[in-house]
Formats: sequence, structure tokens, C-alpha cells
Amino acid sequence: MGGNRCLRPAGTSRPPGKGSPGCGPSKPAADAAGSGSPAAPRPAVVIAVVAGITLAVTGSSGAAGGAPPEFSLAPLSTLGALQPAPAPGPTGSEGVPVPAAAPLADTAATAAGQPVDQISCQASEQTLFTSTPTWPSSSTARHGRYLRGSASRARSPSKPRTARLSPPGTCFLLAAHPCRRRHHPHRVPGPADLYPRRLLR
Amino acid sequence: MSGGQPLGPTRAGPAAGRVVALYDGHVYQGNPRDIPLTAHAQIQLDVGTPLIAPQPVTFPAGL
Repeated sequence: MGGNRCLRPAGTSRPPGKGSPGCGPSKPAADAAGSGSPAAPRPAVVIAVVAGITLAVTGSSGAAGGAPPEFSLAPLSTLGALQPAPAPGPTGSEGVPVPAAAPLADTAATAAGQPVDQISCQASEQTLFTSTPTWPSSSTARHGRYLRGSASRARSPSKPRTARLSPPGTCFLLAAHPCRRRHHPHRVPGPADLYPRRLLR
Repeated sequence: MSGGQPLGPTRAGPAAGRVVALYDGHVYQGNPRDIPLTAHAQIQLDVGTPLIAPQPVTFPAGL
């Protein structure tokens, strides 16, 4: 890993959700895929994570409310020839493709009731989805036990708005969809600061 | 890793092998466990070989 490596100087950060201007343009996927044979074996697992969900919990995610993350990226060309990506899969409820792949973990989470990354998952789904495409007001968050509203449909303001839940430990809801593992109620150990366009782990 | 699954340079959930992390079409250098889950980040983990090119996703408006 020599000349192609792109290391960012200390104190600089990669803008979230953007390209990597400091590393130069990357090849489009089709170009980078090379001329691999369609019959070539697939890797054991290809996992795609699309961070499109829009909430975060302070204290459980370093990106929430803190300094932007710093990390290093290298050009895709450093990997050599790549196989073309498979079909993206059908479009899911959030409007992005959901690859047809085996789930990494059962939705009957072994973590139910136990903390994972300081977040405890409840044992059962409590879908409180509403079609109202609004971001919950702070008053709603203060006085209601659950947040109403669809995070994925929320019209995010230019500046993140914070909805602080009380009392601490109150359960809140992500834009719930019973089929999506990441959309289920969580219980947080303290007041939760929610930010539009952030991901809850 | 969220969901209580292991994630590291040589493991992603039940899959074992060298983990190559792609972040917005670039190669993430570091432990995949430390990848920041920023808004609209497109993260792909290739476990084992051959490596698969990143597959870009176009987010719908408002997401």
C-alpha cells in the first residue's frame, strides 16, 4: 500500500455522506468491476449498509453531536480487479434496494432485553408508524411516551433539531416497519437526543 | 456490530475471512468496526474473495 494510499492529515475529517474529494475520483462501479467472468465464485458475504435512517442516540453513537469522524480512505484501484456487483435487489420500503441475501442475525434478537452498544432492544415490535410526514415536535417528545412520525419521511430541517425525551429511559420509536430489523423500538439508558438524517445503531 | 454480531478485520457476523470495507466507493482503511455510520453513507463489506465492486444506491428524495 504505497503511493495510492490516501491519508488525511490529522485534524481534517471526511465530510459525511459525500464523496472523498481528497482521494480523487473513484472509478464507477461498472468500470471498477473489471472483466470478471459471470461464472466466477462470489465472496462468502457481501454486506451493504445504507445509512439512510435519520435518528441517532447521543451516548451510543460517536457521530451524534460530536466532532466529525476521521478516517482514511484509499482509491478503489488499490484492490485490483473487482467482480461486478450482483443485481441490487428489489426496492424496499425506504425506496432503496434491499439485496436478496441471508440475514446476518435473526430478528428474534438474542439481544432482546439486553444492552447492545448501550442500547437495549425490546422483545416485541411496537409499531407506532404514522403516515404523517412530519418531524416530531419537541413538545410531543417531552410529553409523549413515544415519538410519533416517520423518520425516513421526515422533512429534515437544515439544522438538526433535537427532541429530548423524558423521563430518562423512555422508549422511543424509529420509523417502524415490522420487516426491517433496524426499525424496532429501543430503550436508551438516558435522555435521547434525536437528529434528523442520522442513523441509530 | 449492531445486532450483537461480531465485526472485525476477519469476521462479519457469521462469515469469516478478510473483510474489505468500502465506504462511498473507496477503500476504508482501518477496522470495519470503526466505520462511522454517517447519514447516507454507502458501506459495503466484502468478506473473502473475489472482491465485489461497490454498488451505488440512489436515495429517494426526503430520505
